[in-house]
Amino acid sequence: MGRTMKLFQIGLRQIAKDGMLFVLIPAPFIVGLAFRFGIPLTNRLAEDMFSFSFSPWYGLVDGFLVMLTPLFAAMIAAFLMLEERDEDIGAFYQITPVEGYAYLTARIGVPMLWAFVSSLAVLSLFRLSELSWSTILSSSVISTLTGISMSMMVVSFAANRVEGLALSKLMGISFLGLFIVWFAPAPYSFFASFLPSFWVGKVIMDGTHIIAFALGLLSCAIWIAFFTRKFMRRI
Amino acid sequence: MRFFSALKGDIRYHIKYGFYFLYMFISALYIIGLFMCPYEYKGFAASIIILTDPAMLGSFFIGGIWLLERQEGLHRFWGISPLKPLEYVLSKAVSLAFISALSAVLIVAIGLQETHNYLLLTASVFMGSVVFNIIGLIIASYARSVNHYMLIAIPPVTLLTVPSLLTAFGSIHPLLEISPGTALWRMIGYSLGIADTPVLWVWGVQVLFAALGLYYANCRIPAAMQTEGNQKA
Repeated sequence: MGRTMKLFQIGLRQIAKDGMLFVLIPAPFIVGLAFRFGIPLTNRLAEDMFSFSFSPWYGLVDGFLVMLTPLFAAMIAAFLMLEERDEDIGAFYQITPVEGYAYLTARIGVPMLWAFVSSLAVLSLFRLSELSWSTILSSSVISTLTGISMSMMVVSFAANRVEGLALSKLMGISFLGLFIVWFAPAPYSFFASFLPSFWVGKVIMDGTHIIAFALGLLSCAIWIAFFTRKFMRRI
Repeated sequence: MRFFSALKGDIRYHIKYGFYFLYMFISALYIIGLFMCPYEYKGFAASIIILTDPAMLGSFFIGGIWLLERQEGLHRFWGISPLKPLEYVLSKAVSLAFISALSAVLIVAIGLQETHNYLLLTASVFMGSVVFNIIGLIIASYARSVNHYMLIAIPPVTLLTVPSLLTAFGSIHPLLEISPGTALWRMIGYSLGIADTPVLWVWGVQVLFAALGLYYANCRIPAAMQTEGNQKA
């Protein structure tokens, strides 16, 4: 564990040098603040001018908010790993005690703990819809695991940082499940149930239901296991 | 001739790294989105999609391309390369602009299914993308890593995007008009039949920013490469 934390500190120093920490720490709160005050204001304007209200989609905005920090952290972690691979630093780690899972824990696991705490705090402080504590907690858990799966997707498929950039574009698609919950009627919406974000949306829309939460965890676990196996075969 | 060889090499590189495949896929998603969009908003939605994604895709990828080239040591050979800085910059900007224009035409042709001014659409997206790619390349030459690139690219990308979005949503101000993003939106909007005829000024802004960008890149890129490799004789 000590070695993992040491490796995490090395990564932290690198992203601090790149200035990413200054974005990663305040950004979710700034976005949350902008959503909390900007969207109701826009809604009032839309109601006055067009008699149109966004309020039925406030839950969707909350879903977007809870997924934002983990995906942001996932992207930073993935590019740190890809750069280490491009510069052959990753190969050196493989002959040290911090190879394999310890490396993944330091690079993805620990940053995701921050993402989880941040998601919890941001959703608790800036949510637009009525959400119970259990809904905030369960949607934060699923979105954090989604972030881990996205990070693993990029590092397991991309051969270098350019391919990583191309794959990171697909990270945006991970939000698709969230939109489908609101815009596609059941049972058609369940075609997107393989996407973890679908279950984030379900939990936020319907409240925490043990089956929805369990299926969300299962979809994340399948993707994480699939990408981790691929990553382990690659190194 | 050297320029066309470089261009061919860059296009091959983009095919190898899956940019074309990726953008066909992303375009397909946008097309599905446009099918679901109410008829009266389709043109407007398409213009925003094209402006914020296909037209700007190069400025997203170019940071990674530059940094990978640097890490692979390609820049060390700059001293013995016959390629002129301007040819190098144009090859990078034009090759990525092809994907932008192709994606934009696909989105409009399939997603809107109406006759539009495809020539103007292609020309405007191509031109706008070249400007964004040159700006992206200049920013990339200052970046230490992809994470650093994404961070330092935020202010310029915001400056390019916000004025155009404000204009698209109805805010009119002379200051907004000097942005290449606004000029691009006006050209896309006209080609889709949702904006007024672009005045000469709009074309002038694009040409001006392309010229300024090329001038700066022509000075900056050799300097950035020389710090990594050999000086050009």
